[in-house]
Amino acid sequence: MKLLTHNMLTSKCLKGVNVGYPLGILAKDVKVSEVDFNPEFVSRIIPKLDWNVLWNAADSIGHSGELPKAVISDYENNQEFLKKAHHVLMEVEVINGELICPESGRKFPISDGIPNMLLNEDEV
Amino acid sequence: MARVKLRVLEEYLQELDVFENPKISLEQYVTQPHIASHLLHVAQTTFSDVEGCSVADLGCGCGALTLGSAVLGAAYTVGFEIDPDAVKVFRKNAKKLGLSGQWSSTSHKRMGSEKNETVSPPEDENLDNSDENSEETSDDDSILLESEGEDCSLLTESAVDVVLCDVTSSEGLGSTNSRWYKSFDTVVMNPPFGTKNNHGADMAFLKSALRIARCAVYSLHKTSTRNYVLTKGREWGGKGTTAEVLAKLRFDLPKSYKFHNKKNVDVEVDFVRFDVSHVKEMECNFSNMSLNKR
Ligand SMILES: C[S@@+](CC[C@H](N)C(=O)[O-])C[C@H]1O[C@@H](n2cnc3c(N)ncnc32)[C@H](O)[C@@H]1O
Repeated sequence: MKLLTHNMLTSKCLKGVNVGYPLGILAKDVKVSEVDFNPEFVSRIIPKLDWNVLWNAADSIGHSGELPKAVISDYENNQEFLKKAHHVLMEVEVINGELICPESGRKFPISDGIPNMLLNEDEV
Repeated sequence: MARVKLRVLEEYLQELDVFENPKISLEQYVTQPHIASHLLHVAQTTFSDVEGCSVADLGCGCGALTLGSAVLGAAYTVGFEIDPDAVKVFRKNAKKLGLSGQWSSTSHKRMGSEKNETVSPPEDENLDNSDENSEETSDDDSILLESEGEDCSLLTESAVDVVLCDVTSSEGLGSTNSRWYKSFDTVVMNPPFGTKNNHGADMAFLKSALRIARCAVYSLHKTSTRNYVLTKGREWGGKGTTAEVLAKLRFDLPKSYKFHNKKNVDVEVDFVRFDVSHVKEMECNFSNMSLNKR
């Protein structure tokens, strides 16, 4: 699971949960790999992100690295910034661990990189 | 323009494994490589909806459309699927096509019976930066494709994720308040037809797809429901949505999927493209205004 994906996931589907965001991450395995850098794509995705959540997620698994705490102005034209964002969004992957609903504490397993957000019938 | 030829894409997709024990209740059958490759190739060559785009595949199953999008250079692709067993096959297929990162991970217990099992070192692969021509990974599975003289490193550095969830959930992808709302450029999917005990699944898929897409949705629907599908699609997509049937296909479905007890298992299917790129977010999303970040 990439941190870009984590930035979008919520546990709002759970009965009784209002926001379900952001999901905490308990990472057992994290992997860093190389993904094609596409600056145009990264600058397009930035307005869709909750940057604080991204930064905190990265920090919580020890990979905030050089990521600035806030989005800079004129980021579209700053290759260096976009590269750092790209790295954290696309190249850092949680392989095994858990996602944790901030309201209910319900845990969602991540195994072999795939978060399992499936609910039991009585949870919907 | 597409970075790989139609024929090559089809060959890639032919390499993929299919459902091991297809679950009838989920309408599990793969999109045939011939159809999947055409669908994706048209999306790219006619509409430029794949390369450099974010692409979602709803009900990704074994991954034909997800992985095919990655082959065509999608910048970020997410497959959503409800069935953990199907996802296992997806993982195998991702590995087969040489995806790196979590997909090449061998942290899992290895199944000795697997023909293409590789013993790759757990540390990060250090591939050089040149995209198209970077070196092959020393991976048995890449070699499998390499023998056909194609460049299999195409996929090693693409970003693919899978999420296990119910895509029809109205609190999830189907909600205008979801974080996924308008977060993908393109959705490609082969939804269940929504017959038998799955009634309405096709439409629930379509609704979710139109929520999360910013530009276009490519989908397959029974020709017999064409008017309904197009009308509902325009409605859910919001003012400005257009719908076009790009092709009429014939699905040769496995016997188990026959419809309404007809002997004939050939089904006429529309390949439809919905265009939501001219829909203003405000117009179809009043309840979400405070969440809109510009
Ligand atoms: C017709 S198959 C298509 C599989 C794959 N996309 C392909 O093109 O080969 C439909 C897929 O949708 C999945 N599915 C059915 N209902 C679902 C749901 N509610 N949420 C997510 N996936 C679902 C099935 O498990 C199956 O993998």
